[in-house]
Amino acid sequence: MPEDRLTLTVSLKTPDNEARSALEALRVKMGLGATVSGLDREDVWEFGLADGGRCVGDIKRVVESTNLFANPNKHRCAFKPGAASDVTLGANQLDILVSDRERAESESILSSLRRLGVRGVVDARHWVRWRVTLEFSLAPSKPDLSSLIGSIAVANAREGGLFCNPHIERATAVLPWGEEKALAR
Amino acid sequence: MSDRPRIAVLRFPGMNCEAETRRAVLAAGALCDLFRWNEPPSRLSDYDGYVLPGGFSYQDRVRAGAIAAKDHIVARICEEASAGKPVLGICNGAQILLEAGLVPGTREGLVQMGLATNVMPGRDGYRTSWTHLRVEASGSAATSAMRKGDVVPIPVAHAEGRFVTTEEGLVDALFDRGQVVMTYAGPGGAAAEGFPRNPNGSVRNLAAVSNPEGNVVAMMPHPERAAWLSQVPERLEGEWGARRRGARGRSEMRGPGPGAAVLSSLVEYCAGESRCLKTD
Repeated sequence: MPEDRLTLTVSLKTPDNEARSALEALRVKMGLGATVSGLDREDVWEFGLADGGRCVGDIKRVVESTNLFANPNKHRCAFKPGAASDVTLGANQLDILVSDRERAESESILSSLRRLGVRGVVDARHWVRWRVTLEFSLAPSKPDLSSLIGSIAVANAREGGLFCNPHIERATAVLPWGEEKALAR
Repeated sequence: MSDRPRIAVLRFPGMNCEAETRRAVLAAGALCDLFRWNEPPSRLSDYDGYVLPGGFSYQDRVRAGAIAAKDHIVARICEEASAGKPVLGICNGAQILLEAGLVPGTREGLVQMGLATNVMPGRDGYRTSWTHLRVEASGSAATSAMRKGDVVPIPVAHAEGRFVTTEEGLVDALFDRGQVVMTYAGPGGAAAEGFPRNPNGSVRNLAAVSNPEGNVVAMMPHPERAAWLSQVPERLEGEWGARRRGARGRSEMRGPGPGAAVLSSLVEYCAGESRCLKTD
């Protein structure tokens, strides 16, 4: 049976205070200063479709007519075919995708979708995507690339990163040249 | 100069339990000040002990306790703790101590545990209820005035309070070393067998964990909400519920509640008494 992926991103229409606090923490509390020039956050849902994409219209209907994924008064939603990690990044950007290690959110979302009449979705995954903009371009040859990403992303030590506690969450970095790096499995 | 120990209750943006925590620390016999996150960290050295109270530091942004753990005053707390001063983290304070790698602290500076979302049958989210805690190790900053096996009812109020770790063998090691300070139990002291005695699905009923020295304790329940007998509900099972039902008059109602023993322990610990973890 053919399977396609569909990605839904949900971001705030208003300034994102959570991202601003995180940026402040990276710059001031963690000493990264101007190294990090920007930070954006959005919720990302990735759906596996087993019916050749015929249910995409139903998913859009649910997103637009219920508050299961977003509140239209404060959120902006966007759909894109493909996986959550299929993104186009600037040379100075990287994505950190963080998901809960245990919560079966996919199960509860799948059952909600079925209850709302959506058939053909076989799995649903949720991440928080932190898009980090740096003051310099990244390249595979950059020395200390892994330690730079670690110092931003994974809280495995007191002096470690911010976005993922590896005992609770998993994290993957997506780099500008398309490489995915598992940070906390 | 007073010979009473001086304790700082830290106040981060978004905390909401600092005033009642301070009141309970004062009632336990210490001098106590509120200490703001943006005061000079060096002033913390004027204190004999510290409490990180409950609430929602930085509105739980990113993850409960994650941003506060990176604060400069927490770096200073780490230094004071390594010098042996006691630190008690309550609820959000516990989340900060885990995120800062102070607890369980068996590998210096590493974050070894997390406090994950509650696991409860048929529901998720925030849980507020009275729980019974069994003292597993006396001599810590939270239990120096108690004995192993004591049962104290103290309320919890959290959405992320489930101690978890991916480090194999860590929880066994914490029990072996006496770093498991309190566990969730029934009113008679028997181990909690699932929800609701264990209110969040915490692995092996963990409710309070210390560092190896016992001077830093992260506990999810709120002792300051059980510091006076008047705070104990009449319907509560066990000895403390009976005491509450039998209490007559304002003076009896103003007597110490079960949580007072935790804060008295902190004050005793500051005075240098009972400073070693004991599990027998």
